[in-house]
Amino acid sequence: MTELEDLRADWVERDQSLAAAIRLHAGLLRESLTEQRLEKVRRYGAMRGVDLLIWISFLAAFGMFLVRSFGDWKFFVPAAALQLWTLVMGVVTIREREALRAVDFGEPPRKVQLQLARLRLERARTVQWALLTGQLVWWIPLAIVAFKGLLGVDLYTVSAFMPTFMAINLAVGVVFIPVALLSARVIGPLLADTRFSRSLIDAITGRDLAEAQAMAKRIGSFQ
Amino acid sequence: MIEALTSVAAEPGTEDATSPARFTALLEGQKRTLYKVAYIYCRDPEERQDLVQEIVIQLWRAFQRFDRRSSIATWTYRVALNVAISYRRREGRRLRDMAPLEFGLNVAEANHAFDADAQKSRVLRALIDELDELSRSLTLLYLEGFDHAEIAEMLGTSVSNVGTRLGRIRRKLKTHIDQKGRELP
Repeated sequence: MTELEDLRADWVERDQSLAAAIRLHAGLLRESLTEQRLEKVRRYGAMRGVDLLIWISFLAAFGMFLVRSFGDWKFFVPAAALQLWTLVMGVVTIREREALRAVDFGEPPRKVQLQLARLRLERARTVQWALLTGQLVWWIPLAIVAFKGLLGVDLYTVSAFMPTFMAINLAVGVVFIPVALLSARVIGPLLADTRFSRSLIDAITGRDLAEAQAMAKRIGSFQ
Repeated sequence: MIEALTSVAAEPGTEDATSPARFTALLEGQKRTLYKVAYIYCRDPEERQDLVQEIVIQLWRAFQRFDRRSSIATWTYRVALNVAISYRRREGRRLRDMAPLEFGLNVAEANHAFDADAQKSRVLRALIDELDELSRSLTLLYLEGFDHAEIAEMLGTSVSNVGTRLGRIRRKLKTHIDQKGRELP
């Protein structure tokens, strides 16, 4: 009968051959650890810089629009909604990234994995709410603000039907939230199984959230 | 069992405490550990190379703030296990997609040397494939010869929990072998 001890003895035996089999090219390694080479690895860091720049640009643009339209509530309110959404999502994302960067992988795995599981849980919640609320602010309010701010056009007065059209769209947007949650569960499996559609559906339905919760529970129960 | 490779890490804050030369010395001493962690977490031999590269990068980053509260060996295991668990979940971006760099640590030969097609290694593979991520770490540390207290310290859990978990792993192994209906010589 094979016991764990037998597997350990076999493991030790196989381990003997490893030292000679793994080759470390010190020169190549040292070269790889230079700043220039590591910069390639940090490329995603540069993307974070671009993200930050875009975020600040949006905040500045909406901020200027808010100042200009203060008192003119039909423009101020949609711009405030956009500013609030952008601000909250940006702050939450930065906070999550910083928390991820602060994780010290030299700490015990149970502690680190629990930290990562909690961060993943937070991220899944953020993405789900960003998708569900984003469609509310990034359609009609954006159109109102963009037309006014960039072209000087008052979208409310373009046609007599426009205010009704906007109200209907906003109402549909509100109704969309529970409908999206429900229909994503039903329609999701019928959609083409691409990576994008799968991650979108998983984010909307909360499957990512459920997975993250299960993971946090599993790691938490390791104690 | 835990080696104190104090010669590898200089005093924190000194000029060469985190120099590439010291890091290379660390890797030379710990390269087998990196491979064995990759072996436990990756069934596919080609993936092991990717995982080892990810571990090297993360070790290098973490090396900058290594404070010597634990031995180099303990610290290396922790970093490697954490990277491997995250890699398995595909949480992190794949290094291969991000930066096709050669980090000077070639494990291709190790796959031939270590991945023996013997019954015991097949049993071990089947066992670890059934285990959750932290139980895999625990199994690896047990195979490496660490005692319960050392395993508990490395993983951040209690000694009694290590004993309980190892008991479950033993039962799982027994069940697996019973199911296969064959005994090993």
